[in-house]
Amino acid sequence: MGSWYQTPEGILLLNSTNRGQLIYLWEARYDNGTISRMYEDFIFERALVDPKFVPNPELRATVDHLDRDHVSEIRLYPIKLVEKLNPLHQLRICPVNLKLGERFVCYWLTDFSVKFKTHLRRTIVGIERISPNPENKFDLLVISPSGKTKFCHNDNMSFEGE
Amino acid sequence: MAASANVRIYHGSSPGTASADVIGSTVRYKLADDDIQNMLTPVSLPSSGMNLSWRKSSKMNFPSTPAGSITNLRWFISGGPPAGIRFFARVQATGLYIQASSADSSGIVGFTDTVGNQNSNDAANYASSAPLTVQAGTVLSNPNTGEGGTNQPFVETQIGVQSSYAGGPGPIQAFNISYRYSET
Repeated sequence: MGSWYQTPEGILLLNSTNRGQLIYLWEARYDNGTISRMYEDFIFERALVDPKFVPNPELRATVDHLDRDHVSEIRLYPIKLVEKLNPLHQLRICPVNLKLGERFVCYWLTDFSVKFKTHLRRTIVGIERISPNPENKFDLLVISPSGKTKFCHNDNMSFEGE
Repeated sequence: MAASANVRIYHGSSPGTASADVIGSTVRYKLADDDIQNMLTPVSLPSSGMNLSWRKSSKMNFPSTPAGSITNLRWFISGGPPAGIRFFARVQATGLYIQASSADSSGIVGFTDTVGNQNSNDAANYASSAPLTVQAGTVLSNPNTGEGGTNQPFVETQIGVQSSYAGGPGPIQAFNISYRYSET
């Protein structure tokens, strides 16, 4: 991990967000107008306005339960605590316009260090498609807790210091 | 918040006994099937060539269940051991555990028994940009905890001390190993 992760803001952000898992709260919007969220509304909305509140990670809903064929948009809302610690984290709106043979993906890419016993979770949103070319199988937006982002076709990347 | 994952080293006869969570420098490559922090069974410095340690077998353990799934488990090193020390890694066949033994020091068949196999299984090949794939599919899903049973094979590793190592007796500087996985 690079220098930002060793700053007081970096340390506080990681320790407060289950090592990057709770930086963003996701909200999925369906093509019929309905919305599905990572948390119940009262928890979700409090996390966006109260800088001292971090939701319980064990109460979160998983994206695995989403009806992927009918999702039109994924929104990533940084919790208020994170927004104050790192302004690079802002609301991100990710349209989901899937073509035949594509599906959207949303997950945490977690690096677990055996030596330091630490997790580092990066938020990934993107598309997976059926393709004979491995370089064309994924279009991924990777957001690190530091706020740095990468667009890549493969989540096997070096994120050292990012 | 409590850790939701740890790494365990297996010792003893099959099916092996998992250690407690290993931390920092508590994994000791030696000529014995343990991680006791002592100097009793070191890998000696050879006058030529390389001396191999006994193997280590490790798995990731998830004491708390994910909301969704743990998938695409990978392994890599960053930094690596000092000059004169080689580190080897491979994925053992699903569910198979082989206890470390003195035979490992002669080279493990298909793993470290030849120069070609040593080069192929050199852990330096597995950086974060090109990690070793442990399980491309699902390791475990909600509501399960643990290691995923046969869904997670062991990562086998071994140290080689070359005659060129200049660090002197005693433990080497600990280097970092990481597991990487997708989590929902």
